[in-house]
Amino acid sequence: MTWKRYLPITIACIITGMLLSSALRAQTALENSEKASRNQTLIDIINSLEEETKVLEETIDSLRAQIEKIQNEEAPGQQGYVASLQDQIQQLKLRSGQTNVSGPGIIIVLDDNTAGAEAAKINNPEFYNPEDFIVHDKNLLYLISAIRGEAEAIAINNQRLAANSDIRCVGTVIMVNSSRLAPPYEIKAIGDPLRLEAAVLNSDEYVYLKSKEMPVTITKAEEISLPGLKGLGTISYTQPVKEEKKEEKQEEKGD
Amino acid sequence: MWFPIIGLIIGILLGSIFTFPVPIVYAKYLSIAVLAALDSLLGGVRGILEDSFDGTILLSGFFTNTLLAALLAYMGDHLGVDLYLAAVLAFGIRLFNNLGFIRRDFINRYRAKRKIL
Repeated sequence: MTWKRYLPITIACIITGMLLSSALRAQTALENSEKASRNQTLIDIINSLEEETKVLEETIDSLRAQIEKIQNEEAPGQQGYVASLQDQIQQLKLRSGQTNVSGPGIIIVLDDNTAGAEAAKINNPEFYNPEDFIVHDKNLLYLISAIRGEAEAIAINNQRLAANSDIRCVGTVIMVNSSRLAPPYEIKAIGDPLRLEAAVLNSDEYVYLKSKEMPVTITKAEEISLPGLKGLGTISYTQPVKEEKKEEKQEEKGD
Repeated sequence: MWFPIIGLIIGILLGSIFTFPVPIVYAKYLSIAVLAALDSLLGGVRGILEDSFDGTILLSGFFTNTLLAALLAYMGDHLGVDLYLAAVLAFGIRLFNNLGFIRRDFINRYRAKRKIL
């Protein structure tokens, strides 16, 4: 007769058990979905934006090809004039970094100090700071600054640097021209190899990186090829100052 | 004596094998319902130990408490008042109360047995 006595509480126990396990599962599902959905939307946004950038860059390429084609169609009777204009355009493109270029120069390879990080993690974990062993945006920025005067064209991981190029830190990645880069960072610069090398070796940043035992290598190369800049912002606010006005202003300052 | 514990284990197993899907929105109410169910269960155990156990009262209390707790939390969410806190507090206090009584009952039984021996 005892089992009959315990029947109600056993039923209650069974139901409680079922409730408990389903509540547990629902709760974990809730937590997972919260985390996943937040990250997923951000990841989706990034992916779609990168996709868009790619499409836009392709559009730029095709439009440029069209422009080039039209420019190359020589107007009859004005051949000399058109040719000189085309020369000018080519020169301007070269200066603004829109064309693929090649020439002698140096290649600087900069990587995260993973060996040092491992050693530090084992030897003194309480002082271990992963920030000390990775390449930061500032390291790249200072190195670029050191060679900018000597170099005629620079690219980091095949991202060409032009007048409006950015080198930024976003979270754990470095962005150049708003594209994400991953180590090792390869800075290619076209110019006099010897002078470029000297500029790097004499820079404070190179000494600093060496003192932190970051793996930096400099190699001189006879032939380096750099890609052109993909997108170049339009100039909509800046206007050239007219010569007369300039003089007036100078006079005002003189007074 | 062991029926309730075996029942609990069976219930957990059943719950993990047969996944009746709970919409994520109701996860909170389910948690409150679990609290109410546990409270009723401990009340039942205490009843058994104190020989005042009544199956009908237990089952009716079990279901009404569980449903009411979930309903209260649901209503609170829609009224903008954290009514589920009331349920958590009430059931929490009762849970610990019952647990205390159950502990005392067990100790008393153990002592009584030793005296007889």
